[in-house]
Amino acid sequence: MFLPVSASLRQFARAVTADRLAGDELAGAITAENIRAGKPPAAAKADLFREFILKWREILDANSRPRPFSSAEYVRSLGPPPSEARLVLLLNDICGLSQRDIEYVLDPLSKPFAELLKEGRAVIARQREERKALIVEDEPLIAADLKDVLENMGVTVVGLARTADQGAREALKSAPDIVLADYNLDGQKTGVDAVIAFQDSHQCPVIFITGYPDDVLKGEDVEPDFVIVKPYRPEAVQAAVAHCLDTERFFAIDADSANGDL
Amino acid sequence: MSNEKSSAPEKRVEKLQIMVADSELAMIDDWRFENRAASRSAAIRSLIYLGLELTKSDPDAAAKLLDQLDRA
Repeated sequence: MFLPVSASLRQFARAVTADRLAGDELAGAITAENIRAGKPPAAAKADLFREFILKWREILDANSRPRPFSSAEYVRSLGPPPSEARLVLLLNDICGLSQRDIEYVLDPLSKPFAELLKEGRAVIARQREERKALIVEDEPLIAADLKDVLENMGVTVVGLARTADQGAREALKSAPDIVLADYNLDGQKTGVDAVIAFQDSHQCPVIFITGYPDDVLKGEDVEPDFVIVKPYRPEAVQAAVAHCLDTERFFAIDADSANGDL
Repeated sequence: MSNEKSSAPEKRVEKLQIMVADSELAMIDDWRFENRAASRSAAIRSLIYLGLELTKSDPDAAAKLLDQLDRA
C-alpha cells in the first residue's frame, strides 16, 4: 500500500532534500501553484511528481544567484541532490510509481530505467553492520519480521520495544542510528509519543509504519522522515532505511553536526 | 553517483531556534496565509527580507518602527 498523493509528494520532497522543512516548502509550493492555476487538487500522481522535479531542477540549474531569503536560495543551500539511481529507487520502491510513470517524472533519464533501479538497489545491499536500529512495535510478529528485513540489509537491531515508554528508554540507552516505530501502538501512547520522549536527547531519523496513511504527514510538529504503509513490502522498508542512513542530514543547530559526514 | 560522501559539497543551511509569544506566532501565521508562503519557515525568511530591505530603502521609517517596538 502507498500513501495518499499529497502525503506521498511530501515524503518524496523530504527525501530528495533530506530535510523536512525544505521538502515541505517545495511540496507546498507545487501544490499552491496548482491551486492558483486552477488545476484539480487531486491531479495525477505522476504529474505532481513531474512538476516537483521540474521545479527543483529549475532552482538547482539557475545560473544567477538567488536573492537572500528566497526559497530558491534555501533549496540551493541544502546540498547536493540524490543521484538519479536513488531517485528511481525512491519513486519505485517507496512512492510506488510504475516504470512508465518514473520515466515520465525523471525525463530525460541518462540510462535505461532497469539499470538505474539496479544501481539504486545495489546501494541498499551495501553492508551497514556498524549502523544500529531500534524497532518500536507492539505486534511481535511484525517486530520480528522488521528485524529480519533490517538484518538482511546488514543493519544491527539493538532493541525491540513494545511500548512508547520502552521505546524512549531504549533509544536513550542504545543511541540508534535509526528508529522504526509503529504509528499506532496498542494502548494510549503511540509511536509519536515515543519519538517526542527521546528526540530532545537523541536525534535520529524515524520511519513510521502505519495502517492509517491518512493520519500522517500532515505537516505537524513531530513527523517521521518516512512513512511506510502496512501491509509493507520489505523493499520499501529497506529503501527508506538505506536512504535515511546514507543521506547527510542536519538536525542540530551547531554547524559541526550539521555538516557531519555520514 | 553524484551524492557520494567524499565529493559532496557541504550544506550551507543552519537551523535557528527563535522564541516568540503565542500571539506573535499567530501574527506570523496570519501573514503566512495572507501571503501564501509555502511554510512558516518561508514566511519568517520573507519577513526578515522585508525588514532588511526597509532598513536599506527607508532607514528613517525603520528606525522609527524600532523605536516604537522598544517603547511598547
